[in-house]
Order: sequence, then structure tokens, then C-alpha cells
Amino acid sequence: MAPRAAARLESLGFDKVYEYKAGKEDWLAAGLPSEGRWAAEPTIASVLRRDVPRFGLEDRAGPILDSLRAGGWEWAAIVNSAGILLGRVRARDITHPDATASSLMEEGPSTYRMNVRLDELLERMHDGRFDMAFVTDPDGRLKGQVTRRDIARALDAHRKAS
Amino acid sequence: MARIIDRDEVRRLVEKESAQLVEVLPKEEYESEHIAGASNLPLPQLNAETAARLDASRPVIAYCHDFQ
Repeated sequence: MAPRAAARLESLGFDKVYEYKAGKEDWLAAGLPSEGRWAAEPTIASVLRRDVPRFGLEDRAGPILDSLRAGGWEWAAIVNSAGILLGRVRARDITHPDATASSLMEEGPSTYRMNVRLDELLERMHDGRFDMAFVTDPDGRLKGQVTRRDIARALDAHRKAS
Repeated sequence: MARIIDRDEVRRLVEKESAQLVEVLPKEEYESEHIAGASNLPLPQLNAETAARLDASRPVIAYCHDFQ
């Protein structure tokens, strides 16, 4: 639809016409500003924890565990040099401080986008029996982590306020 | 032919060149949620009269839902 609209604008005399091919879905998934009826609904962006511990594939388990314990985290994110999420390491799976992240990592965890509504994710967490999720942008770069507890609190506050 | 741009270029054009974002989806979809600052010109109604609300001297960025 956008290519045809762009072509029509050009035929109407506009000479600086661009097409944002990835469109609204890409924009919203990146957590960028929006307006409209749904824009007021709480989304992942409102409860995102950006300071999730993140490490590289060759990082050692000892410092990973220290970081998880210090922040009270259960999972660490494993990312590449571009910040793209590769996997995750769980604190309780770390038994040897010299092990590498790559040897402990669970690959390819499910990820969510910033524009996913909180009620939708809470339902998925309930059905799928999980309590945390990593959040990435449309390019796979890690943005942070959300927890079931934070989501439930935010939804409760939203309901009371509306 | 219109140049295809990504998210970063959209932001740059809006911030640096006062580009106009135009959602070409139906009004109902636009009212549900749209990119902040975008106007709505649904494709079926896009003609010389409706396009006159745009400033032809500034860049125009057309978008829809995703890769359609």
C-alpha cells in the first residue's frame, strides 16, 4: 500500500517522497512514540528493565554469577558485539566459575517487542508458565527484560487509575 | 521512484528536515494507533485535493502497517 501511495504522491507533483517500508509495526516494536486510542494502553516499554546483566559468549561464569547475585537477577542475557541476543544463562546452572557463557547458554529464548500490551504478555506468561521475558527490537538487539511481577503490578495500577 | 528508508532515516528526516509522516491505512487503523505526529491520508482517498494539506516543499514519508 505504501509503495502505491508514494507513487501517487509523486504523480501529484511531490518530489521528495520516501517510503518507510517496515512501517508502523517496526516503529511500534522499537518502542518509539505513538498516538491514538491504543497508545495509552500499557505496554512492555512501561515496565522494561534495561539494566539486565549482559555478557559475551566467552565471558566466564564466575563474573556472570556475581553480577546476577548482586542485582537479584535469575537470568543473564548473552549478546554478541552488536548487542543481538544469542541466549541466556541461569544463575542456578552455574557450577564452575571458569565455564564460558557459551557452554552454559540456552540458545534462542523467546523474545517480545516493546509494543506488546501487558495484558497480552501476562496471559502468555500464564499459559506458557514463565515469569520473565527478554525484549528485543525488530533487529534482534536486546532492550531489556520484563518480569511477571512487574507486569501484574503495572496492570493493577493502570486499572485503578482508569 | 520513492526511496525506501529505514527507521533511523525516518527519524533523521523528521528531526533534521521536518519531514511529514503520512499513514496511508484506513482511518480506523490510524485512530487506533499511529506514529506520533503522522497525518492520515488513506490510499483510496489520496488525490490532489487531499494531498493539498501536505507541504510539497518538505519531504513526505509514506507508510502503512508493514511490508505490504
